[in-house]
Amino acid sequence: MDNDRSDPLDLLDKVACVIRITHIKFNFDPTAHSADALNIRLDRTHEVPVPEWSESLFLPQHSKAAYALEPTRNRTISIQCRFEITPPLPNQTATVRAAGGGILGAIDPTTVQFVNGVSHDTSHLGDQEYVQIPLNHRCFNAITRSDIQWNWSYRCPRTHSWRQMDQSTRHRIYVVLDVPPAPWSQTNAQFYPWTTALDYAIVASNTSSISDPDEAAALIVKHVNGEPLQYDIWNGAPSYYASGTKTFLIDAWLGGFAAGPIVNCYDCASAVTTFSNVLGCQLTYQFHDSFGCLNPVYPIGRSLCNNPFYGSSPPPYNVPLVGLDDFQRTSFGNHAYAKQTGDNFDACMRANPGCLTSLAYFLLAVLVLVGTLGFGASIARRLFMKAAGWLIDMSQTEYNRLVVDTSTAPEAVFNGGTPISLPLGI
Amino acid sequence: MPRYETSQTGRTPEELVGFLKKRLNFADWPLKEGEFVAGFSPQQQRPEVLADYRLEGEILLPPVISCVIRKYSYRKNNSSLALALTVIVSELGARDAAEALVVMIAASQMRREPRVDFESIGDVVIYPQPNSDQSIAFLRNNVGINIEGYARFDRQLPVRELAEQIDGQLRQRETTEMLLGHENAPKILRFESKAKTIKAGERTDLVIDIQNNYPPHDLLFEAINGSYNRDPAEPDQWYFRAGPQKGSAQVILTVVNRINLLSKASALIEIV
Repeated sequence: MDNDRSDPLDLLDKVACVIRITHIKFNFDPTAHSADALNIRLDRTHEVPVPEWSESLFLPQHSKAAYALEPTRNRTISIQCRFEITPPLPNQTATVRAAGGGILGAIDPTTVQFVNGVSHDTSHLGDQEYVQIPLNHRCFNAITRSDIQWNWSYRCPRTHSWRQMDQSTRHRIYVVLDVPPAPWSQTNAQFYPWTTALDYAIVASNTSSISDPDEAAALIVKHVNGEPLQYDIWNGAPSYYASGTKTFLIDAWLGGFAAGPIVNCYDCASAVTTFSNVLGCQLTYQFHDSFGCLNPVYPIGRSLCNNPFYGSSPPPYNVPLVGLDDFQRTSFGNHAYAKQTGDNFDACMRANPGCLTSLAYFLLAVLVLVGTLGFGASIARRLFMKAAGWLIDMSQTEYNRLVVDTSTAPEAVFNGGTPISLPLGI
Repeated sequence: MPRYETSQTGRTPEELVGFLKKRLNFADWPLKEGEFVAGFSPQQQRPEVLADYRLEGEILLPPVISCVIRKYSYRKNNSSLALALTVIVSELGARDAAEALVVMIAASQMRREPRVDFESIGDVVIYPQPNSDQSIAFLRNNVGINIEGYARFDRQLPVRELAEQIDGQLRQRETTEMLLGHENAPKILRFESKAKTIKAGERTDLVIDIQNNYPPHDLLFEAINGSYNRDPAEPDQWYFRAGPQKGSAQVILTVVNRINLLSKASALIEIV
């Protein structure tokens, strides 16, 4: 700060004026999201009020805003701020600026008109007490959740030195890849993206700094599969998916798995779709009937298994792994997973790809890394994940080869369906 | 851009429900319409079989217009044995509850050949796994019950006994010709917005007055052209936030009480 105490005008400055910031709006236009923040909520029953910041809020988690990368690319985004000046005069002009700002950047010196002590801006169609300020130095290019702070200063009318405002402003900023698609919405206020879902998808799922939607979805798959949940080996029934309304019970999921630890693939597919899409991925929930016998896989929370309903089966089918081509073992009548641009993402199980397939994925990953001089790092990381058995970013053929056992005629009979896209709500 | 895959050979969940109904001769089920059981909850009238079990959780599923569906999870004390009991109570009648029950049974990844019986438990009993009592679903009047056991094949859970006891309880209950306005159901004495006309983006508090003989109750909302919200400073205070578009808005309130009966009301708000 250049608050120069030796400036001869300093004494005059001290009595000249005091300016404070009273409110900040990040999402000042709820009908658009290319020049301002997205519409968001905290959760099902709590909104994020606009203005997102006011003088009584000190912690970043109390002032939240989210931006989508794709619609704001190469566009100027702005915030709207309200200031007050004392002593109030009918007409005054001062200058404000802010240092810091993290991914939203510092705020360049901005001339502010004051009318009767309150800022006044007629350059936009919103509340004229708010000044629209461009964020010329914002810098975001990947998924993130970042706490930022602006240190505001001002220059009074006809003075030269900058003075620090009494209060810094702190904010929690989320950045996602694109406008979150269904089950989220930018028009139905109840289904604006929830920050609790963003926290789960960004922080808990470790997607921060990811800019590729396939890699983001892959990390969501990995996180969902790693939750303290177990496949329903007794009934194959869902706990977090209401089949009658086709809704994901997200409140129960985020509320400490309130519906218990036993899940099926409908639960996992709806979780992967919902949490990937809050990041701006484009996943759809897929229902696949009939599905078929399984190759040995690792159902969520279970050991290697090709007989998924061993929990309720009499001997000799009361164990997870039976003879590889024993067609009397239990099988999936149907299955659900997610798709993005035609490729499958499945958190309900991990494949057991075998040494040769794993090695092939591994070598391909190394080739991609070397061949692209590191620029294909995201692709390589996904190939490394596939080598470890994650069912991510796979064509239907590749997925079927790893998961479905059609090696004998009786096993092949159980297979034959293809996936269909179903709507998903929350 | 997303590529939505569709298929001519893939079956939808609705088709699966259709196949299941056909297999179970759904059209011939001897359902008792016009004889309503006025609510049921295993927590309000706990079956003896569950004496050694503790409730681990209960979850109210999103409201289907006329049905309350609530799932109760129980675990045997000092044991890994567990079971889930889902209660469906329809205010429309037996056919409506039966539809919801079949949808629930169809929602499984298991390849199975369920069988139906009209003699032993309830008006209709369905065995989703025909050679096992690990899961049983039945219907008594307008109440559907689905019990799923989580135990090894050789460690039988008292699923059948539980179904029989619950059915016994349901049979002993007096029936009524309709549930609408029944004294057991929660009554919404008042549901309205403080302001009938608000500007886009503005808030108005919702005034809610409920009389419920079976507390506690759950409040479920649906909002059109805006959102329903809870005041963080006063958690008992709900309010409506108008969306950005002018026109008519609506908030629909569903109240569900402890014995799984519901009442609905709606409030209209004009956004100018």
